[in-house]
Amino acid sequence: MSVTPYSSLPNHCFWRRAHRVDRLIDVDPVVRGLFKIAKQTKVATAGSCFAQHISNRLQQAGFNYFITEAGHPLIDSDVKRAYNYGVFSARFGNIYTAAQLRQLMDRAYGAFTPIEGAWEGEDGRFYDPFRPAIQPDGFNSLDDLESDRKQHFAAVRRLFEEAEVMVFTLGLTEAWRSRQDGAVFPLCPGVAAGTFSGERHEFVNYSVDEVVSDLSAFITATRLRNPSLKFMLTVSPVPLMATAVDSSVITSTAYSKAVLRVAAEQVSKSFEDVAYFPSYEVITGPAARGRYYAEDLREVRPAGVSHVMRLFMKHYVEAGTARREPERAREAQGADSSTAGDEFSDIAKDLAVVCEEEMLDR
Amino acid sequence: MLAIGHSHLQAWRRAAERLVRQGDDVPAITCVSLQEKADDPAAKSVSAVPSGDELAALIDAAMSGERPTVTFAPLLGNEYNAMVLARHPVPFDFILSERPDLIPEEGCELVPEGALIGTLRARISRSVVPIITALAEITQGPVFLVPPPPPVPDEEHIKAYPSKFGARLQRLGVSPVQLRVKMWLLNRRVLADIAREAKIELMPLPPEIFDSQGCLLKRYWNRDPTHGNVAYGEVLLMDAVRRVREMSRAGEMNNVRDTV
Repeated sequence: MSVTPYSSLPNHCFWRRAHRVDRLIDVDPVVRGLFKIAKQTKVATAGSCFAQHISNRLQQAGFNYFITEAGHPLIDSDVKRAYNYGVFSARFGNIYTAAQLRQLMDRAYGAFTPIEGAWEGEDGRFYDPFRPAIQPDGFNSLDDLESDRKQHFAAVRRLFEEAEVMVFTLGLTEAWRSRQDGAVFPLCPGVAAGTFSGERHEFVNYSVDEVVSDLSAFITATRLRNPSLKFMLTVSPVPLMATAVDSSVITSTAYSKAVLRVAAEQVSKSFEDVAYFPSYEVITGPAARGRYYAEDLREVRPAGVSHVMRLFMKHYVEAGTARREPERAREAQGADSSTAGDEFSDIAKDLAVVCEEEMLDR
Repeated sequence: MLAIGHSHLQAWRRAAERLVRQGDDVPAITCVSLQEKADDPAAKSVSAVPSGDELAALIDAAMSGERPTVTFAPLLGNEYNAMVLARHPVPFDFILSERPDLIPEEGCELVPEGALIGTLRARISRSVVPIITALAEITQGPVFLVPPPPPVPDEEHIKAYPSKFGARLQRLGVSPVQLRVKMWLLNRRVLADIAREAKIELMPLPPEIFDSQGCLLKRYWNRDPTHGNVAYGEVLLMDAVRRVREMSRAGEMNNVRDTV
């Protein structure tokens, strides 16, 4: 038999061998980490609902989860959670698109001020168009909103300038933006707050080139201020709640995730210290046989999050840095899950994920 | 009349005693201190937040088996002071929706008003709500929840009479008076909501006790950082008596609960 380029490839390059494992949780599409995280490494997170799972687990695993907007210590922890403190590294709410991330950078540094800066509700309260669900009942006044925003942007700037690793989960390609100035909203106006207007708002479904452009611009701009910042890009395995395209949400989801996956790949290959982490493949790969999805075929089960974080610890964490993720082999194999101790606490936290996108289907 | 509560009840009790000694025409008022019962080693089973049965037993004992026709409840009242009397190591402020003219202090962490309301409410719910719920069931007539006095504005007075806040005040200093006023107003709003939910009323404090900043007038300061003195108690007591007499004349004594 002649020697080919395949002859000397390692087992993980072959489908059958990559799946020849004793347990589902041993399926490892990561292979190797691009860099290592130590206990004191300031790890920041941002992104879609799935990124909250990563935030929660990082905190639980004792990492230096970097939060620049934790909420005042006087406030009860339940209240803080309701006000979205600590859900991500700053109180920006879900960031679903690369465009939104780039826009956050621009706004935080004063390079862009959207025309639609506030929405007034019928209740006379004010809502932030770019964080429409950040507070349970909006803001008391315009002054209240703007004062909070000023404080928030200071926290965002500090996050970008001091974080050492930033984990960003790409969620969507579909978005709504202003026709006037291109400001992109996390949710369609009118869903959580505000009023939809066909004159002022337009739909966009970002292409690979656009996502690559926004991510690249963000990484470049951040590194001007924080040259050693490392990035980890992931693609959320959570399907779209709804599509604004007149086609099946199933095909729209496939398109979105494909675009984001390709964009993440291109960007990770274009920059130093930008890693792609395959949480998408872990959850959606054939080996999981759909078992990592909950009954609604959308939410990711704690077992799936555990598999993802187990690989994260294995490949990205310095040896001896953090406790191991609990192994949920029984739950992954479809057995009734009986939880106790840490696992119950993990599940409770996973279930508490704030998903603004779910408002689309209310 | 029944006045039942914790440390802020002292002003009522001393005022009632003084008025009786002076021969003033005031209705009979029974004062039951939950603070003393909680602190009394002989009454260990009574906590500062007594159960309904404990409360009923206390009232029965104090009123010889009779039930009050109207109740005033200056309950607890230091939840907001615990948050704001001493300057927090992480200075904070907020925009009070009802008084946006009270601008937050520069350099402080801005906290959403709603988050402070949520925190205050959680603390007050654990303590005040069980008591007023029980009182509403036990007593026959109207129940008025009495808010704590507004803040003492003078830092020097607070430092001179720090009471149990001494160590903290020495270490951290006193919070700015504007923040304390704002928190008192927020606390009062939370108490009003809680009273409404329990189908009782929040007693409005008489306007004459306030200074121009919304703080407690000097003549009503007690020798501690947070309580009103006997003169304060007299103003509140006479205001309470006036309310009772008005309700009596209007025939409202037995059915006020139904209308709130």
